[in-house]
Amino acid sequence: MHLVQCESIETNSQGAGGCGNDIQWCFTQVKGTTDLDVSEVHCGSACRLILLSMGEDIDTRKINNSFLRDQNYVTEGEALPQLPGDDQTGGGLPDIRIFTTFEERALEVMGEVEDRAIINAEVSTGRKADIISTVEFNHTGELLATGDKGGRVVIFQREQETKSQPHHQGEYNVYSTFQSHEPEFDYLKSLEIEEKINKIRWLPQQNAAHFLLSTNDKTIKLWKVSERDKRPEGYNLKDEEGRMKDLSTVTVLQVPVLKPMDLMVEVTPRKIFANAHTYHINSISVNSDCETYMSADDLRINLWHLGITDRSFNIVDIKPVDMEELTEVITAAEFHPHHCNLLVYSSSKGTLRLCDMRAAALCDKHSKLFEEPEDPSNRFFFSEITSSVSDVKFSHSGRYMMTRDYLTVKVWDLNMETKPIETYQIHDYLQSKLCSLYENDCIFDKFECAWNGSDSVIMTGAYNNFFRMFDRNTKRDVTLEASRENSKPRAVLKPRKVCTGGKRRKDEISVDSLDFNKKILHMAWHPTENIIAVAATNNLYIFQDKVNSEMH
Amino acid sequence: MVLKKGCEKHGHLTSLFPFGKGVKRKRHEGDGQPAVQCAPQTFHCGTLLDLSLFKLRQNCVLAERNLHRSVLIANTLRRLQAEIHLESGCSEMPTGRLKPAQPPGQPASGANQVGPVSKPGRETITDLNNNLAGVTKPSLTEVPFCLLSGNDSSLSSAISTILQDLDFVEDLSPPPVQVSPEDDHDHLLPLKPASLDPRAEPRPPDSIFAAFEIADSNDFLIDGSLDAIFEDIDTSMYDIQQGFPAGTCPTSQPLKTTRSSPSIMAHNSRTDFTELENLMDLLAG
Repeated sequence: MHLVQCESIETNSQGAGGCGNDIQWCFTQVKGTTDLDVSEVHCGSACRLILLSMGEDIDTRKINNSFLRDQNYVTEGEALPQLPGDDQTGGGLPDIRIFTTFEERALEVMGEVEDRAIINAEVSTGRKADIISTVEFNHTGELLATGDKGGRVVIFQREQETKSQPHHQGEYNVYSTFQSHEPEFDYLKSLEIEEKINKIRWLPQQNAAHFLLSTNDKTIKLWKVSERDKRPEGYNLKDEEGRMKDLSTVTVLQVPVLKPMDLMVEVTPRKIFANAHTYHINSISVNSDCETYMSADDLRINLWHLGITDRSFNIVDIKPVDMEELTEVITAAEFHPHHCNLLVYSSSKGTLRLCDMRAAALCDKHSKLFEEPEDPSNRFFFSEITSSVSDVKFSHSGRYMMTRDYLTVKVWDLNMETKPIETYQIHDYLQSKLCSLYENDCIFDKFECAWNGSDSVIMTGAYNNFFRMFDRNTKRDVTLEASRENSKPRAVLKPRKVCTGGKRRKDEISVDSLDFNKKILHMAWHPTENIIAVAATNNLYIFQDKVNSEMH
Repeated sequence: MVLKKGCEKHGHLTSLFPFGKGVKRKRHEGDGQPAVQCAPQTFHCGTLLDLSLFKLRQNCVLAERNLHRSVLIANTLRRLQAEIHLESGCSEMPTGRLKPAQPPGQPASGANQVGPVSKPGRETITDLNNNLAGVTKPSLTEVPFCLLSGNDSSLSSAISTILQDLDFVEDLSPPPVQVSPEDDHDHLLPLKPASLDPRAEPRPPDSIFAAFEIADSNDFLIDGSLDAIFEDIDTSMYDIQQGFPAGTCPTSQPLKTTRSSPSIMAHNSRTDFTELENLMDLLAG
């Protein structure tokens, strides 16, 4: 893993939570493998990282591992320094290491303690498996989960403030990594089911453990992430390694005591919700009642109870009787953040449908239809494709919702169905390039969008590793770039500008020079603070505003 | 999503849209305008049509079929075809395209022909040689598809390839009465013996969606060849009791069977006829 520890140096007089454009975003961290064409500072020797996968204690089916590409981050190599607690095997518990410890140790081994130490992590997988496919903060923002194309989930935890390590405060370090989904094969259709994680959603925390739902195209899994920092010692019949004691040596009875141990993070699959979707799952959303959640595929939406895996209720079905009449698919769906009976789903035709589950068991008939009529003068070949909604997100307040289509972001008021209240052009300069984008399939890219904690700023991604933020109050916007080249430690992100025509200024980039292979599709905003996590292909960038990083 | 697949697969099309990553190139004239306008409209439409058909086919053979993508491409295809039809209609009728009574001055340039699309009422307008005007308005309002002539060999070959690649050949449209003599249907015969090239064209996007459905046992049981064998057997008692149309097999999903059987039967008998013909040819040497 590439870890770049950075800080900001400049002070900012703006308070935290200010307007999007008044915030000066600072590069904080980047996680992930390098891009081939980015020059890097390499350490002397390559390290190998450890990840040990969890055994499943609920689902005893074993998937044929020959299917599985070698996806471990890990292979134990000679270069590994001996970690503390290497010999501990707590009686059958799987071994999990925390990357933080390893990284720190590795840094010591390498002799690099500077901020810019980069570990060249050799990942034995192909590059494609590392492509991040979803990013999600949990409800407090303490944990950040990413899913990738290889079916892995990596959870980062925010460092607590400690005086002893001032450089690492407020930063996200790897908390746990596990293989969530494996590639499968559908024998009926002779199709491979991708293990790519499409969505991760955290459940609101109800006890010491954290729960998250992760889904690929067909199966949703509920994972429990818990910590273990104590272990029982002093068994009468077993010795420290777990071997049975020779009974003749046992002379006195003792009561096992809980002794502290190195923190271990356990991730176990608690529930597997499978076989409910014919088509590819594109969204999952946890209900505000914390008991149910929904999963949406191209044509249907199912309602699940978190505790019941063998059945689900179908609440929306837009599959036509005759598949040949199919002209519209469901592209995203979400539950209202406060009203457990309301859900919204978007379609490929750019419409939003708000459904009330109290009205009927089947919500095929919407309660509200949000659609902006197409401007006939602006109609062109690809207008339908560009109007297809790729993401829909309710605001934290629940009053608004935001949709992302190919060229714009629209903010809708739930009380007004006729048109959005705000429309933001993301990359209007692509209008003239739509033919080419259609040809190379970029026009089908599904960008996500995010609200900030106070619903005053919205953010979405674009090409060339650009992402854009719009302040709804001041109506100002900014374009920023997530790239290693431009991310010096303690650097404030410089706003970027795309030159659409005429004379190109010095710092501007012309439309023709945009790299359409570098796209920011997935991102997340911390629920309360100005911290954003942006996924650029196989790298995860974390940016904070200066005030934030100052305070920590 | 594989980024470069499109570029790899159809080199000739990439040459039309040189679009590298970060490559500086000359700005097109008219950059910034929303409509597709780089080249003459008809040429562009045709190229986009090819591209769309190619993409549809590509999606069929992809390991992970993307229904969303297919739907979007199919809708774009429909729109393109409508646009092309409009264009040809415009070039035909300088006085106005919405005057069905006025006969065209001459057949469409490039022999653009229009035929019916799977609507029973269209047989009267199946004269493919001319008379765009007669079908312009109805076909635009009722039938979104515009049909190109069978002379467009690249189109027909693309269509036939798509059809051959499909898992399911569920043609739910009754075949037309008339067949254009100049259309080359040989390569389509195994699948749609009596269908016109133009007819086949609107079907691929639709039939492709059928391929996304789970393989029902239905589809294998409703086999036209079986029907032909049992034709002389009186199954009326069986049918009355079960409530199914003659010739169909009762399955676990009777509802679906009932709905789709009439057209499937028609199709199956036609396919069956052709298959028998082929078999006879083979046997006869």
